[in-house]
Parts: sequence; C-alpha cells; structure tokens
Amino acid sequence: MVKYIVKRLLMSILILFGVSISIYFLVLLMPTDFVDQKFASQIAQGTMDKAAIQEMKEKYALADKSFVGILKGYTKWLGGVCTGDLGRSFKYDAPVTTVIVENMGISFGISFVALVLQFVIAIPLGIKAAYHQYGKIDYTVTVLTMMGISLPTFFLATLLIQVFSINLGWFPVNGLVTANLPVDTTPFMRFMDEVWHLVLPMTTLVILSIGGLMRHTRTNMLEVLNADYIRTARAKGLSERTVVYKHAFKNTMIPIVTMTAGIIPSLFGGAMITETVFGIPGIGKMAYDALKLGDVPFVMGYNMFLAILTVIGTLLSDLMYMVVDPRVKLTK
Amino acid sequence: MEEEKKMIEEQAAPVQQETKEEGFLADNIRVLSPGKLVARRFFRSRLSIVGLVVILSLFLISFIGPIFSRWGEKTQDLSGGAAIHGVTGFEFKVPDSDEVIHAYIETISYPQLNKNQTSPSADHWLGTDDMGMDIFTRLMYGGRISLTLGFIVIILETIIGIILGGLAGYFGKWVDNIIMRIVDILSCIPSLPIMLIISVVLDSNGVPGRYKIYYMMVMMTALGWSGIARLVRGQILMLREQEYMVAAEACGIPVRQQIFKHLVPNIMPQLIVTMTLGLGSIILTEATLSFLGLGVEYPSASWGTMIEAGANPDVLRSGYWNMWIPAGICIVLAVLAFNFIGDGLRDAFDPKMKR
Repeated sequence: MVKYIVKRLLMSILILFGVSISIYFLVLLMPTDFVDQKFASQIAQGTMDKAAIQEMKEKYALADKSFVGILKGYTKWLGGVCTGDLGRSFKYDAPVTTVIVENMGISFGISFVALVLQFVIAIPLGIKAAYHQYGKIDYTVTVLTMMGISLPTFFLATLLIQVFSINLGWFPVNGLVTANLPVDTTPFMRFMDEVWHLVLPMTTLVILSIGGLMRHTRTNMLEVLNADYIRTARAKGLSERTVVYKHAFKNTMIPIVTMTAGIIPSLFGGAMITETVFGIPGIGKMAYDALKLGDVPFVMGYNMFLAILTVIGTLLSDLMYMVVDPRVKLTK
Repeated sequence: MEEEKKMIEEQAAPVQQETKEEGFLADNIRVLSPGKLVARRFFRSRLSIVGLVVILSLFLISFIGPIFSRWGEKTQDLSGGAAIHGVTGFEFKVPDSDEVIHAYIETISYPQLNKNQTSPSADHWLGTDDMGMDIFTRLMYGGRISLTLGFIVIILETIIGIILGGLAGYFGKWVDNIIMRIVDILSCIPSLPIMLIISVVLDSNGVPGRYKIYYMMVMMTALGWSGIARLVRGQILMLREQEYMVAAEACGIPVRQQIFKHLVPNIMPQLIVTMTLGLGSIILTEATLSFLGLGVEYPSASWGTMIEAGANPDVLRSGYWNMWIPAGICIVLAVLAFNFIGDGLRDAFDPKMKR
C-alpha cells in the first residue's frame, strides 16, 4: 500500500512536470505587452524609465522569446516553484499564491454548498428512478436531469438572471455585495447579503451537476438490484425499505465515493463561467480576467494549481476505491 | 461418363435436400444478425427514438432550411419593426394670400438606442437581432456550424484515439508507457483555461476571426483524444487475453490485421457510445467558446455567439428574449438528443440488458 502510494506520487511528479512544461511554452506564446501597457502611464509621467521595464521583463524572463530563452525562463520558474514561490501576478500586483488562497474561499463555499445539495437531491432521485425502471418516475427524472446536463452553463445562468433577477426581482443581477450597504450593517447581515447574492450561482451549479450523479446512482442501483443477495434479502422477508435502503444502497455507494474524490478539482478550482457570468470575484473569474490580459505568472500558477488538484483527485479516487471495496487489489 | 454423372447427381442430391431443409427452417425461424438485434433493442426505447428524430430534424432544418429563407445569414433588415415611423404635419400660411402649404416631416426613431431588434413577426419568425439580422435564419446557419464541427472533431479524436490507444494496448511495455504518460499529462491539463490562452495567442498572431474556430477545433481534438485512447487501450488489454486472439496469433495473422480486423470491431460498440455522448459535450464546448468570443465571431452565426446577446443586461431588461433563448433551446435539444441516442445505444449493445 505504502509502496503503491509512493510510486503513484513519483509518477504524479513526472506528470506535473510534463504539464507545467507544456503549459509554460503555450503561455509564453501569448503577447506579453501587458508589462508595457501597465506601466505606460508611469513612463509618461517619467516615474519609470524603459530600462526599469526591461529589467522587469528580464525578471520574469519575458524578454527573450527564443526557445533557449523560454527554457531558461522555465527553469527559473521551476526553481521558484520548488521553493514555494509562484511569482508575482501582474494584474493583481500580489504574490500568486496569496491571490489564489485569498480568492479560493468564496469559490470553495459556492461549490461546497452546491456539492452537498447535489448529493442530497441526486442520490434519492437515482434510487427512485432505478427502483421504478421504465416507469413514469424513471422517465420524468431521467429527462429532467438529462436536460440539466445538456444546458450550457452560460445559458442557464443567463436564463436564471432573466427570470429571477430581472423579471421577478428576487435576486441581484450580479456581484457579491450590495453596493451601498448602510454603515451600521452587522457582520451577520453582511453575510446574509452575500448568501443572497450567491443563491443563483449555486442553483446553476446544482442543476448542471445533478444529472451526472443521478445517472451514476441509477445505473449502479440497477446493477445491484439484480444481484443475488438482494433476492435473498427479499426471500428472507425483509421489508422493501430495508432491502433498498440498507442492502442495495450500501453497495451503490462504492462508485459514488470514488466519484466524489474526482470532484476535488472543481471544488477548489472555481467555476470559471458561472463566476464570470454572475460577476462573483472567486478564483475562476480572477483567472478568466488574468488569462485575457496575458498575466503570465498568475496563469501559470492557476493552471498548475488545477493540475495538482486533478492529480490528487485521481489518486484519492483510486485509493478510496480500494478502501471501500476490499475486492479491489492493487496491480501496479 | 454416365457413371460419373450419376455419381455427381447422387452427391448433389443430399445437398439439395439439405438446402431445402434450411430454407424450410429459415421460414420458421428468422435469423437476426447481431446488428439487427441491436437495432431492435435500440428502437424499443422511446427516448432513443425521440433523440434520433430530434437530431435528424435539426440536421434537415439546418442544411435545407436556409435555401427557402428570404434572409441570408448576414443580411440586415434595417426597416425593423422596432423603428417608430412618425409623421408630423405642418401648415404654413403663405403671406398675402389664402394659400396654405401643407408640409410633412417623416421621422424614424429607434426606441432601443438605434438598434434594430424586433419581436417575432410574419416577416421574421423569431424576430431580428440588434443588427437587424433574421434570427430564425441565423439559427439554421448556426446549426450547420455546431453540428458539422461536432462530427468532425469527434471523428478526428476517435481516429487518433484508436491508433494511439491501440498501439499502447497491443504492444504494451515502453510504447504503452510513453503513450499513457502523454495521455496522463493531457488529462491533467485544464481545458478551458488552455483554450483561453490559445485564443489570446491566435489573436496576437493576427488570425482572422473567421478561421479561429477551426484552430480551436484542432486544439480541442489535440486535447480530447486522450479519453478515447484510454478507453481503447483498456478494452484491448482485456480482449488480448481472450482465446480468439490467442488463436489469431497462433494462425500467424499479421499484427495490423490482428489489431484492425479482430480487435477494433470488438471495441466498436463501446466506442460508438462514447462518440455519441462525446458529440454532445463537444457542441457544448464549441458553444462555450463562441459565447466567450473565442470561437465563431459575431457576424457569423453560431448558437453560442447568439446566446451572447443575453450577456447584455439591456437585452434582458428590454425583454428581447427572442434574441438568445431560441439558440439556447437548440443547443439543449441537440445535446439532449445525442445523450438519449448514446444511452439507447449503450443499452442496445449490451446483451446483458435484456428487459
């Protein structure tokens, strides 16, 4: 077990190395005149001269766009990463790690609540659908949840804004805080204000993700319900409730547990489109804005952050699989 | 000679009898090929029929519809109904006579900041957008782009996936190691941010907006084949251990034939299901890219670009739902239909799903 984990971790480092080098070369193809633009006013005022900007470009290894130059920049970046320094974001003018950590909270909050809701809604629906296979309930649930998967994120988000924000006026159109809250607002009221702003984004995420989990549960439940031990349980004279929710349900949990571990990247990495449409300053929107501007250090940092999350997610899901299902043995 | 003939006849006789019997059998028992069985199981599910009908009609409307439309993809109808035509009359009395001159001033004003969006009417079934282009016609042109691109990308992905996954699964060892590490790396690369980066790169290199979507599709293929390769490899690893493959190897059938004649057809069912489900997600990705302005660019129509109209709060507030909701419905219909077909095929291919 320990040997397996160590082996996998070493492999992950190799993979991450490959990911980082491919992303770095791609990112450096982006126009890097961001530095020029940003300090244009300073140059005009004379507080900064061309040499200082050149120095800054050198510092981030953006000046030399030849293969060797990029390679040098990469080794420098890699050296920084090894000491825990991801560089300084141009756009946000702060260390990349700080920006990521500070803005992760709100994204995590939204995704976490959405995840819990998704489980609470999708699993019972999946069980119901499987139990009444090809019945009315099954068709209705399947069609509705499949519609959820088929909706483009931005379309659903815009639709919710149109109906609930503009037509009904129940929720704000976008943003995280109401513009001019009275000064004497209590922290609790501020929190409630944020929650009020986050209802629609959360709804979007829940509707989009229910379908996948529901189908997963349904398929597994169907398989389990046909198993011999379920027939035995019924033959013993157990009530239908016990059979379904105790005997069958436990075994459908196996794939669900492993699936949950795979969700990690989306849990911490932010929902880029949802956050952008609703104008919520989470990590996803921050990354979107940075990407459009060609903020090299932040883009590199964010992509690597996502890649690391994916690697951890896959590893965890494999390990969880082994933990929950004793029949699974490690082969590699 | 005669004896020989007799012998031949004698030999032929029982054969004839047998064929007769076979014909007799075939009358009673209809022999169904595996393909027919699959088709039968597929059409038994109501949802997959619905999916098939929706996809076929979307295809037909998108490809044939524009021929019958009065409007083109980019024709602007600036006479838009949103413009308010006003006529103001004036009367001038000519001095020193009884003559009165009547003058009229015709005014055209656009309530929406000089924009031409209109609500549905007989001329424009779904109205026009803010440039006065007919939305229904644009939906059809958008459908052409979305559906064709989806098919092209998924076919390319499958070809690359089969070749590389097949090589990895069949040869194993270092070939497998190298290919699978590349697959691992690709599946760890976050796709949306990478697409954004590529789009910025394309912009800075002066690629015209019209061609951008094709570059994006190439990138989607380059990033997307890894899933199919992994599936093919896993299947081949499993199938290689089967007895018929041992037999094929023992017969000395060349490697190429072993892979493409004996292994690949056995992976096909799984592959077709994955492709159908993949089509839906590619359409979604294409729409997302176009929505973010990274794919098809404005004057050209695409379902994603059309929904972008809804990103403008003014459009939402003024209630021009016809500008963006129909495109969204088209996407949902297409993706939903592909999902239904994919699910139906999965159930149909799996002989264990007899119900």
